[in-house]
Amino acid sequence: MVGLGIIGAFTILAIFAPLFTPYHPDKPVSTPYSPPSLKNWLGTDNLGQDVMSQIIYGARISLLVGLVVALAATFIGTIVGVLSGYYRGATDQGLMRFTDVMLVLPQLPLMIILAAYLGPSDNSIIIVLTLTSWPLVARLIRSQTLSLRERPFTDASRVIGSSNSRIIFKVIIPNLLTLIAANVVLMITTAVVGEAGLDFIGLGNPSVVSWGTMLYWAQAYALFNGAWWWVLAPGLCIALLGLGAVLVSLSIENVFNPRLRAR
Amino acid sequence: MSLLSVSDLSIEYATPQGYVRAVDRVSFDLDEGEVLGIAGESGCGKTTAALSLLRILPKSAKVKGSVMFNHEDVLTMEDSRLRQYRWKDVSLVPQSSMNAFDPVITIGAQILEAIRIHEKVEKSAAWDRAGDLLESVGINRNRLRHYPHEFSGGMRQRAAIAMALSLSPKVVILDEPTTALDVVTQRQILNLLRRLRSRLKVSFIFITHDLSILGELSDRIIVMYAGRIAEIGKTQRIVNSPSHPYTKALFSSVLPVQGPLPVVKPISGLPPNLASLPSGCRFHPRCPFAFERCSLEEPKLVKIDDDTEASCFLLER
Amino acid sequence: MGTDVILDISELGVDFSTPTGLFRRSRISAVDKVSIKINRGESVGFVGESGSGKTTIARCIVKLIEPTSGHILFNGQDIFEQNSAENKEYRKHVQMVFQDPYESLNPRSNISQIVEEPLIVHHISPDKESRRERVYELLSLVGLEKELVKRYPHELSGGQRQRVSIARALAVNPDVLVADEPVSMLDVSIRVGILNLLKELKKTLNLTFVFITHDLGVARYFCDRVAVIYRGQIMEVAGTEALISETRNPYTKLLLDSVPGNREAGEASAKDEAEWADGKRQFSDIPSGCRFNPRCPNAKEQCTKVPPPLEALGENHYVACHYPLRP
Repeated sequence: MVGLGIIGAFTILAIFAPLFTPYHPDKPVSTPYSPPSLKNWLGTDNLGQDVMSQIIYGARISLLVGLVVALAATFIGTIVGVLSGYYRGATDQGLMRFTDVMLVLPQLPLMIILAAYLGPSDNSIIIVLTLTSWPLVARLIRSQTLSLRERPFTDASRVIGSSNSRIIFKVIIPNLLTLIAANVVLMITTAVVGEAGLDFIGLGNPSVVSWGTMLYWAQAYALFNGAWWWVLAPGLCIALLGLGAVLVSLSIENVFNPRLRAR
Repeated sequence: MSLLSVSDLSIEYATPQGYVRAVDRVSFDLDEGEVLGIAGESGCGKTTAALSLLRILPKSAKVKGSVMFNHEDVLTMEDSRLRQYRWKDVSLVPQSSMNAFDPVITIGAQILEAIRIHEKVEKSAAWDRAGDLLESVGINRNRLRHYPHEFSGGMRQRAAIAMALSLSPKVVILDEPTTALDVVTQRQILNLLRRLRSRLKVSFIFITHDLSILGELSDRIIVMYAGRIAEIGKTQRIVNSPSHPYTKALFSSVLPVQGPLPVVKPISGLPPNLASLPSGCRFHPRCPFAFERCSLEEPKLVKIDDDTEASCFLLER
Repeated sequence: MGTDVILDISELGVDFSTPTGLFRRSRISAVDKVSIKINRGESVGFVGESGSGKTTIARCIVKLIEPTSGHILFNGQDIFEQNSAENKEYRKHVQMVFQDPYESLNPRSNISQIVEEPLIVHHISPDKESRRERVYELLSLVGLEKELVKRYPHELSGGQRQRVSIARALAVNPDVLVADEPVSMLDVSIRVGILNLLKELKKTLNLTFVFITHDLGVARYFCDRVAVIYRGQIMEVAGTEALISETRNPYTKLLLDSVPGNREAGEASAKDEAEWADGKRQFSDIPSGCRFNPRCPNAKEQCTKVPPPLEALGENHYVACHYPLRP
């Protein structure tokens, strides 16, 4: 619940950003490098832009990237994992070899290559993060599927005459929902951190405001100028988001498991 | 000379519906070298009562009454004494213990651990002892180096019994030790327990829902229902002429292989929810002999003969 | 009883290969040339210890496993030579009740969904209304109140769950029910209720039962005929009473003597597992000759060389033993 609160807060801030701050993140409004004050709650950056506004507007991009990557990677990973784990045999072998290859793809070089082709942008970040995250999900889902397909209630469906697709959709996937949902939530954090990381080294689009790009600029200017608030703010937000995600993922079981729902 | 003396034992558990009494004022004694069987359906409190003898219930459980082991009250023992008591005086073969072995450690190493946690013994001496223990349960000692999955279910159960015997306790509690085993393996375990008992002078508390086992193995039987004792007494007496209607019903659920096929009737209804017990006698909604008084008052244990007691109004007439 | 054979199992063989080392695999024949004919309306018990292969036979009958050799004919048709339409049709005739009431129901589905699944899969009862009616009907057939439809498996007791399993199996009006140890995980006091229910259903619905169990007491209570299985082979087949009172195979005698309550006989004939426990013999080693010979008190030289064939020793009483016991 607390977790949902945290994530919810960030989401609302992000969506309704203009309502929360009078300042536009890109316009200089005060003296550069001013520490947190009543006027600028989180201080200003090197150009005098309000850090707080940057956080709030930046949340949009960060959350968006996080969500898209989490959903996309989980979606692809689940499909591959379920098909692999359920059908076994040649399908499993083939898919798993492919997954293994993808698993060892290094994020950074891939990103650099893509950046060279597409130009540094959030889209390339999304693509790279998704490509490097789905294999882990696939492995996870596959293990769980393997064990689920051996359980007597799956045998029972087979004996009844259910088709494979029916078994997959009505038996396997409902029992995977907890895992899938928990995965999505936790992946948001890794994606946000991943995005921040890639931004940080300059592979993102520096002209767009996100927590990651904030860190990018901050790393260049803040430390020499003693503007600790500029570094702390985005870092803290990422950490808080992570905390929120973990808390939510812990309570996901309560939502999906009929046994716990009753309480 | 009573080894273990349980008096007015009551145990309450915390549940979402509030506290529930899993065991209600249970009293019994255990003598040296005796086999005491505790029978009852799932949920009647037999496992809870047994675990309390070792004080391994969850912290939220409230335990009242007394459990005297050789004049010491187990329930108020100090931690250091308790740690000695557990396994050295009284040990346990838990439910599904054949599945409780760590799959990545050899059986020998696990028995070794059980020994060395409690006693300062040289590794090689402990290893020898572990080998002796395995042989005492009918497994060749060179199996010490094998992993649990290399043992059959029956063998794992024997290994669990060996582990429980590793410190030569006076009492071993066995919780449903043969429930998941087939009839031949069960027979072997029962034979083993009989042999061990005569050789080692150890007492057993044998918990099961299958009365036919107790009929042949135990000296005395306690029949529990919904946390209370329905009947307690010498096995011969209870097997030949059960007094409590529930005991009678349990016996009539046994499907004999030989002899005439009796008319077998199931016990109607289900065991009660401990959070909402029936008024009066807990068994009365399912009892074919219930009359008015049964729904109003709870019957107390009544002496039937020197060694037998049962709690039923029918016996008070 | 006429000889209306509904299930004809002939020379059924199932081999499993398991890894015994990093590179080696060994073949274990879990079921070895089992043949038996099951008549319509009878309940045949397959009795044996764990690992005897009885569950494997059951799983073949419901096509969860494919045999390595042999055939199973249902009403004359080979069930492993069916196309997908025939396969689906077969599911309407032969259904299964599983051993574990806690695991055979999908924990994410409620009772109504569980029982109506066969109705949906086979397009019985075209609309929601008639499906719901049928579910109520099935629940009452197994002695459950219809208020349970919205509940989930974890809210039910073991006995109730098993009844749901039975209701589900009956949804398609099958001819044959394969029951794999349906009561062994239930309390002794609950077993009789379930067995009585199955007996009732057998009578009113004219069902044929293939009943797997390791408990002879249960087999005696429920089955007309019993086949005793040891390590994948049939040791003895006879009418239940004849099997018990005129036991011919030493393994059957061991089973009977092992039942609790038979103390003296039990001590005498139950040879310890100590021989197997010496670590040198693997459980998968299959003895030559009669598979029971290492444990058999009567074993003679021929027993270690030649596997005994299943032969008729009386009316409807078949025994595989070189030196059958005298009745």
